[in-house]
Amino acid sequence: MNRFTTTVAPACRGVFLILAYLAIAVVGLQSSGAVLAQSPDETPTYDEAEAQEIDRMLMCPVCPAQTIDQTEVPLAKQMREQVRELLAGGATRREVLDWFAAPERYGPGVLAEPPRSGFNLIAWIVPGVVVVAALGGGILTLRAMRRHDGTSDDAPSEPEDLQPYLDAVDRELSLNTETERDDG
Amino acid sequence: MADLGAACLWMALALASYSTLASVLGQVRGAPALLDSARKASYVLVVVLLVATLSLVQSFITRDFSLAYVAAHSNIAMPNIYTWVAFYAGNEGSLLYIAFALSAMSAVAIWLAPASTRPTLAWTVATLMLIEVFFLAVMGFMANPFQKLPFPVPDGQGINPLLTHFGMFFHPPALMAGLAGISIPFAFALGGLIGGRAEDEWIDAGRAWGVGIWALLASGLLLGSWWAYTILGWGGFWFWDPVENAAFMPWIALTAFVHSIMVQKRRGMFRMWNVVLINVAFGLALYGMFMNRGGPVPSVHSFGASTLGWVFLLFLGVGVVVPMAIFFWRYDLMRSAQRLDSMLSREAAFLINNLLLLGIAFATLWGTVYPLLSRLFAEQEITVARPFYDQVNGPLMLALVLLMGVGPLLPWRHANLQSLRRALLLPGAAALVTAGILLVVGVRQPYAVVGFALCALVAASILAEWTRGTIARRRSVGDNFALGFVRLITANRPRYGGYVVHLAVLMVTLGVVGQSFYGVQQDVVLFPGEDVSIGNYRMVYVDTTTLAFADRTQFRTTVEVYRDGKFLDVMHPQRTFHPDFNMASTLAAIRSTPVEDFYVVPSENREDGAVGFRILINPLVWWMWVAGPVLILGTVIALWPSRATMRRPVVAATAPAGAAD
Repeated sequence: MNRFTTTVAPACRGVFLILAYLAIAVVGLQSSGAVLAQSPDETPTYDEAEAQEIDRMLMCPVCPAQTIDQTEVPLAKQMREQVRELLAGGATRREVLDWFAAPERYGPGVLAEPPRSGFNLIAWIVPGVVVVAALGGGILTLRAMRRHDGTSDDAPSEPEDLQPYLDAVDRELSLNTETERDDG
Repeated sequence: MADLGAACLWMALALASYSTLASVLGQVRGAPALLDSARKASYVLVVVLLVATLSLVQSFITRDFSLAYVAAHSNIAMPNIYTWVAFYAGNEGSLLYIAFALSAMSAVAIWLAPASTRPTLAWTVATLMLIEVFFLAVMGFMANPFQKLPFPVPDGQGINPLLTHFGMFFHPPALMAGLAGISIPFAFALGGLIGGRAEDEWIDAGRAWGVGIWALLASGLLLGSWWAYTILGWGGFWFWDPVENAAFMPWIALTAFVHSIMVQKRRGMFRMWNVVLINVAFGLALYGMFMNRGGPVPSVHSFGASTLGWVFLLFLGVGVVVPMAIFFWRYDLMRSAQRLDSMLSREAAFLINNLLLLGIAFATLWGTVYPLLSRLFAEQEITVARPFYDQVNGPLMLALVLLMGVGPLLPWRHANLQSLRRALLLPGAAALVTAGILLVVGVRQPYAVVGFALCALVAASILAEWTRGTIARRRSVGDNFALGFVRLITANRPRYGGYVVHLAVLMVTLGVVGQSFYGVQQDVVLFPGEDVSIGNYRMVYVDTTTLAFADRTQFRTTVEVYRDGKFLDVMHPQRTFHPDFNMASTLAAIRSTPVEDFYVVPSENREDGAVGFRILINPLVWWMWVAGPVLILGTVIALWPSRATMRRPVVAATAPAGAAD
C-alpha cells in the first residue's frame, strides 16, 4: 500500500491531471464558441462560420442520418437559409437550435445531439460514468493482481547503477536477435 | 449458369453442416478420420462458394435479368467495369460474398493452424463452420441471390449511383471480410475453451489473425473515409453514421485485443481478459451486421428495406450468450501464470489502453442505442449524431494518443520512475515546444493545440527509441546507420511493426484535427466567368459541359484555381444527375498537398447556367490517406514470420531480458 502511494499515486495523478486538462479544453472549446455567437452584432449580417457550425448540428428530417450541412435536398437548403435568417435577426446559436427543435416545428429529434436537460442528460452522463468506473475498476483489479508474497524485488531502485547493466542487456540482446527477440 | 450457382449454394450448406457435425462427433468419439473429413469439407467449401460467387458475377456481366437480384442491382447502361463488383452491392449478394470470404479465410486458418491449437482444432472448425451454416441458411431460405423472377424484365433497376465509384472495389469487400474475419481469432479462443486448453495455446493464431483482420478493417475504414471525402460532396470523411459506427466498434475492440494479447504472449497474464476482448469484438461485429441488415436506426448505408433484422438479432443473441456460457464453464482454466509486479509497468499501461478503447466502443454503442431508449422510456424522438460522438470520444482518443507516447516507454514488469522521467524528457520537450510554437503563431483551439502537441510527443518518443536502438547497434555490432536500423526492426518485428502502425495513427490524427478545427468552407453560386476568393485562393468558374447518357446526365465543370494571384491548376469537379433514383452524385476535384487540400464540388446546376459550388480548404487531410500504406507496412512487419517461430513464454526467472524491451 505504501509503495502504491509513493510510486503509483504520482502517475495516477498525472493521468488525472491530463484528463482534467482535456476536460477543461472541451469546456473551453464550447464556451469560446458561445462567446462568438453572443457577440452583439449591429448590422443585419451574420457570421457564416457560426452558421456552418449550426448547419452541422441540425439533422435533415427527410434524409437518413445526415445533417443539413451534408445534403442538397430542397428542405435542407431551406433550413440552411432559415438558419442564416435567424442569425441575421440577432438570434444566438441556442435560440436558433431551440427554434428548430420547438414541438410545433421539427421537435427535438432535429438536433444532432441529445438536449442536455431532463431525461436526456442520461445520454451525456452514462459514457463518462462508465469510463471512469472502468478505469477505477481496472486500477483496483491491477492492484489485486499485484504480488503480495513480497518476492518482488526492489532492486532497480538504484537507477544510476542500473544504466550500465541495461546497456549490457541491450548489447546482449542485439547479438542474439534471431533466437530470443522474435516477439514483442 | 445461375442454376449452377443456386445448386452450389445448397451444396455449400450441406458441406458446412457436415463439417460442423463431423467435427463435433469426431472430437467427442475420438475418430481422427471423421475430423480429417470435416477439415477437408471446409476446404471444398471454398471451391463450391467460389463457383457460386463466380456464377453470380457472370450473371451480372451478362446482365441476366431473369434473376431478381441482378435485375434489382444493375441495368444495361451501367458501366461494364462495375458489373464485376455490383454483386455485393445488395443484401443477398453481400451475404454470398461474406460466406465466400469467411470460408477462404477459415480454410487458410485451419490449414495453417499452429501445433499448439491442433488438439482443439476440431472445435475451432466446428465454430467457423457453424457460422458459415448460418449465412448459407439465411441465403438458402430467406435471401437467395439466385431467386428467379416469374418472367425476365428487359432492363434492371440499376445500382445506387453513389456506388459506381472506384472505392467500390475495395471498401465494401475489405470491411465485410474484416467483420466476418473476426470469427477466426474468436473461433480459436472458443475452440480452446471448449476443448479445455485455454491457457496460452490459442494466442499465436489469435494474435496473427487478430492483427491481420485489424489491418483489413483499418484499411476498409480508411478507404470508406476516402470514398466519402471524394464522392459525398460535403467535404468531410467521417460522420458517425450508425453503420460507420457498426464497423468502427469491432475494430476498436480488436485494437484493444491486439495490444492485450501481447501481454499474454510475453507475460502469461490477462488470459481471461483476452478471451473477453475477442468475444466483445465478435459480438460487436454481429451487432454491426444486425444494424446493417434491418437495424432499427436509419443510416445511409442500410441495405434497403431488409426483412432479415430478426434473424440477425437472433444470431447476435446466440453469438453473445453461448460463448459467455462456455466462458463461465471454463472459468477456472484461465488463471494468470504471473502476478503483476508494479502499477507502473507496460502491463498496466496496456490495461489502461484497453479500458480507454473499450470506453470509446461503449460510448459509441451507447450513442447508437440511446435513441431507442429515449423512444421507449421518455417517448421522445432523439437523434444522436456527430456532435455527440465528437465531444464524447474526442477526449478519450486524445488520452489514447498520450498513452501511445508514454506506454511504449514503460518496460515490462516494473518501471523505474527516474528512468521513465529521463525517457520522457525529450518527447515531453517536443510536446511543449510544439504547443509553444502553435500558441505563438496564433493557434487558439485548445483541442488542436493539445492534439498536435500529443502527436509531437508520440513521434518524438518513437523516433528517439529508433535512434537510440540504431546507435546501440552501431556501437555494439558496428553496423552502419541504415543497416543498423533495418536490423533493429527485424530483431523485434512485432514491436517495431507496432511503432510503424503508431506513426500511421498519428498521421490520421493530424488529418482529423486539421480538418475538424481548421477546415474553411464556403458555399457559393457562380455564373461562367465569375470568381470567388477563399483564404489565399481564388477560383474562376469557366464553364460546364453536359453529357447525356441513357440513365444519367453528367455535368463536367471546369474551374481555374489561383493561389496568391498565381495560376495553380485547372480542375474538373463533376456532378451527375440520375433521374431513375431522383438523386445526384458528385465527384469532387481535389488538389492535395501535405499542407492542405483545395477541394471543390458542384452542389447544383441551375437552369440559368449558374453552378452552386462548395469549396473547402482542408488542412493536413493528405496525411490521412498516406497513413493507409504506412499502416499496411507496419502490419506486414509485425506479422512477418520469424525464422524461429517457437514461442518462449517469458517466465519470471528470465524476465530481466524483457526489461530492456
